[in-house]
Amino acid sequence: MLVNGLRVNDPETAHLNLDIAVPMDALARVEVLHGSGSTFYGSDAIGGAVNLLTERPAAPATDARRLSLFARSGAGNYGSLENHLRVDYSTRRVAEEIAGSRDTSNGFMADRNYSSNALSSETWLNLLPLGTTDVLLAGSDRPYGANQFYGAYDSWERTKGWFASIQQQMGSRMSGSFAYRKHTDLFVLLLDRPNYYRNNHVTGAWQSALRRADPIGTNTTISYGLEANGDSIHSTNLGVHARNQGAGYVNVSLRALKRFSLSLGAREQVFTGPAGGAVFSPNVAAAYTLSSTVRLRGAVGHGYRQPTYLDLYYSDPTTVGNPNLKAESAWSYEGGVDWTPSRLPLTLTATGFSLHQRNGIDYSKYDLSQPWQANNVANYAYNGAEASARFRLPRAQQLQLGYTAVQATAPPKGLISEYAFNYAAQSALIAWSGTFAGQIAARSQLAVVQKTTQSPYALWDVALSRSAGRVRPYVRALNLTDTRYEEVPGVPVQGRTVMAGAEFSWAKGR
Amino acid sequence: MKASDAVTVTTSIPPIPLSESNRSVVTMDTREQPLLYNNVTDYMRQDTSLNLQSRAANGVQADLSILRYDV
Repeated sequence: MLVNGLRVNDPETAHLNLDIAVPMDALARVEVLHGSGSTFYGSDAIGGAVNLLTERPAAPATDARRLSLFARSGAGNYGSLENHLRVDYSTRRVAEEIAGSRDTSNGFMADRNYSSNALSSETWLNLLPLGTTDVLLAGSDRPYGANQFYGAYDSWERTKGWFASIQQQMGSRMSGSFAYRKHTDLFVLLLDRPNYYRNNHVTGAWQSALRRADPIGTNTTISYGLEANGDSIHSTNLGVHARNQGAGYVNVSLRALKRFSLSLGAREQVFTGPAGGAVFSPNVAAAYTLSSTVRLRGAVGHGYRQPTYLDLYYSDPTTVGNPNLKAESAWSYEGGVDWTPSRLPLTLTATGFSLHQRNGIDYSKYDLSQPWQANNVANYAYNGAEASARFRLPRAQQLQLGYTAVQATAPPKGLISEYAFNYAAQSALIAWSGTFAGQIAARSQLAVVQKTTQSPYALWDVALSRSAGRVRPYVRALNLTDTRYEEVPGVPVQGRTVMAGAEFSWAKGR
Repeated sequence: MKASDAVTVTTSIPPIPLSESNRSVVTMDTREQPLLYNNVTDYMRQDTSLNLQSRAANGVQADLSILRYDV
């Protein structure tokens, strides 16, 4: 998980990887890479990577400065409230964006209330001859009822996050970056007896990178860089630990060798800590243009992931870590085709993949009343395929179909797995969107998900908003059929949710 | 949302030229219709290859993985 290419994974536990300090309103784009991305994103990007990107406010075209504001308020069932704000300011040399969000709910069941708050400031400066300086500061605070989250306990949790980064352009071919992330996680097992059992985890992580990309001739780019990062934890349960990593990478990308393109990457990463060592991760990706409408592609990559601190050291009545855990590693293989017929308003892509892992880290148990136990799954393979089709229809309408299926090794009889065997075996989606009368945007999505060993369930969402004008009302209805489902075994999630409100927008300067 | 073979997976300064032209990459523009969504997980649910395991609504507590591997 990355923000502007910088890692925001939590070293305590992957449960908190989406506990992002940057509010949604600060983001302009989400990019998802399927398959190993270890050359650039770290050897642990085994299955892929998600990069959340902010965007510099556009410079004023005619005036000396430009100021714009977007404020949104909405309310819905379960006592839910949402308040979001974004302010953009730009001159030709300086730009600033402030974004904040506050989402609260009384919860759909007892002690499942939450309050999700995030605030960020990002500044872009063009004051140095080297190029743009980008400074991002963000913080979040999320207290929530965790009833049934980790077993049959009425628990409570509060997380806080801080993220600060500076990225400096050094000419058009080089950049340097440094970032620091701090995260706290306070966990209370029994809400009505808060002192019976509680944990407080404080993690810190820093990262730095120097990256360069040089063209060689007209069709080749060589990219290379050095990275250093480290993380630490001070925890009432996990103890005090720290570890560091250093890495170097090089990637050569050859484009348009007639119909053929090729990318060769290699990364050497050195780890300290109990599961430390040095790991070499190569990556190869190639594509072949079969005709003007059909393109074939394939990739092979290696990845390696250290256990989190929770995987290694955690212990409470519901979850037990394992200090003898080994790092997990994997080879991934994929091949696919992209088809863009010239006479049809359609884009179709299909990819087959196979992932072979060694020492995969999982939490499992044989009885729901037992604690989750961390362990290595010796050898494990996933084979699957994904396909998507996108139809462009009249009146700016779009129809999207998506399907992913994974055939995973069957779990041992009676084993209840939290991760390794609980992968969504099938996931299908049909989504429609359109804009009408130049100012009404609508979207509807039906997803059908079947996780391994569970029955399939369907989730239907509909959303409507005004997309132009100073005041823009909206309504979003999630899980319209009020489907009862669980994404984590034993943890029921919210049913039908309807939110409605309006956004006010204002701008000065052009 | 669009699946694209031509997108560059980028950082803001400067682009990381990933082996982008040969990979499966999905991009979602979160400024296009922002009022139809409220949080990052709303976007994640459009990609069938992303496995979201939420405990709480609104992205308050959720695991995200691709092929079981946390991202």
